[in-house]
Amino acid sequence: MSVSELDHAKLLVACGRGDRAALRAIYEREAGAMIGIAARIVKRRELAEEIVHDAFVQIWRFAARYDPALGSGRAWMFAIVRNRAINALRDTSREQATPDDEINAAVDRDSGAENAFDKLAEGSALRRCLENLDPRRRVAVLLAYVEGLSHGEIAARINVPLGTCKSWITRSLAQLRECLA
Amino acid sequence: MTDRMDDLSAGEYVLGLMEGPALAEFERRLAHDRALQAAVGHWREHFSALDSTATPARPSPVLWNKIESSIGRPGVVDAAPNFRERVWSNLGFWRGTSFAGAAASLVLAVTVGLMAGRATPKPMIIAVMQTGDMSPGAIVEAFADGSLSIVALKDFEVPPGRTMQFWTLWDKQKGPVSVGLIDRTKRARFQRADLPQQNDQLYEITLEQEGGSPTGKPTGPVLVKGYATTPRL
Repeated sequence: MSVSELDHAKLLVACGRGDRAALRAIYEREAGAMIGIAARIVKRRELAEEIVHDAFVQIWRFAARYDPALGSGRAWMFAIVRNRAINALRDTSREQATPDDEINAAVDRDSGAENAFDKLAEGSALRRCLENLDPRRRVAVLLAYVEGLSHGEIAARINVPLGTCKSWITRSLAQLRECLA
Repeated sequence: MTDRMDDLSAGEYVLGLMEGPALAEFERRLAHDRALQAAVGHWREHFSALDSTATPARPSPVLWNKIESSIGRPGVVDAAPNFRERVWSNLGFWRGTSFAGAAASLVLAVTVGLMAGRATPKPMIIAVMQTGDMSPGAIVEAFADGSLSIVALKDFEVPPGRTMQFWTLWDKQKGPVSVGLIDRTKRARFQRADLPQQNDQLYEITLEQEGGSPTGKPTGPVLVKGYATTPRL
């Protein structure tokens, strides 16, 4: 566990006790990264900030439930941001997509999933294991995590039937599970 | 150790691909299943390497202020009591006076307003606390800012020298934690951002000696108790 990881865990414990300065410290360090993560999913800066707002309220309320034995504080907090962003995406995608949204989505194709893979730290276990996957299957997994797409949206994006998309992802997860064990 | 299927489900969950009934069922299990929690933690830890590839953005200057006001300021009680609280203090509920039919119809009106979620923030969770004979005794609502309010559905007798104490339990090992005393002269509203608000969390009110339970845990009879649920508003 790195020094900053220890700090995150300590700050979350302090939040659990009602220490607002600890939440502020987390905000100073991570709010920017969180907006970036949410924006990759919802594609709208304003909405990304709203999500980060809600995520901080949730972190504050649930900090006492964070269990360091189950993973780093950073991963725990970022999971809250991603879940909220994905929920927002599912809610808005039920509404009619405007032409603007489609343009934005097209632009973001370049800055989304593939780009994230390229930027993964050399030597990280995830990068090594993702490299072993067939490139199209790898993209399917990345579209889910990085852009928060559903099975159906991924199938449409990579142009395969829904059933194929689902089985690609399940098999990719099985392969990653072996590789990351 | 989790089996293969559980591990793959945990991976799918972390990717954000689980939806509908499968998601609800997985989260229900996840709340109690330590091995499943570990599997989710394992996937999360690895996939979080991708979080670091997002380009950070500078937060707008007002974002922190908004967060701060949403989590509520400690020790501040609402200056203007809302409709529910006014009804609440008029009911004379905690004084143990009897309102019988009039109270019942008022309570119905209050509850309908509450369920419609009008004019007040949406509660994160609601618990209907029941009496020993399983009739509804009071409703707890807990809000995102850490505040909790209680709405009475019946009258309770509080003998002299005794007080009602409000408790919550979310972790059996930790045991019940006192939310606060329900003083006969105070409103039943609490500001406790330090307490979790989760599904299946237990709330209860016991009758304790004046000043509250001397042991820090409930000692007196349980007046009402109930489990928290997320409202479908």
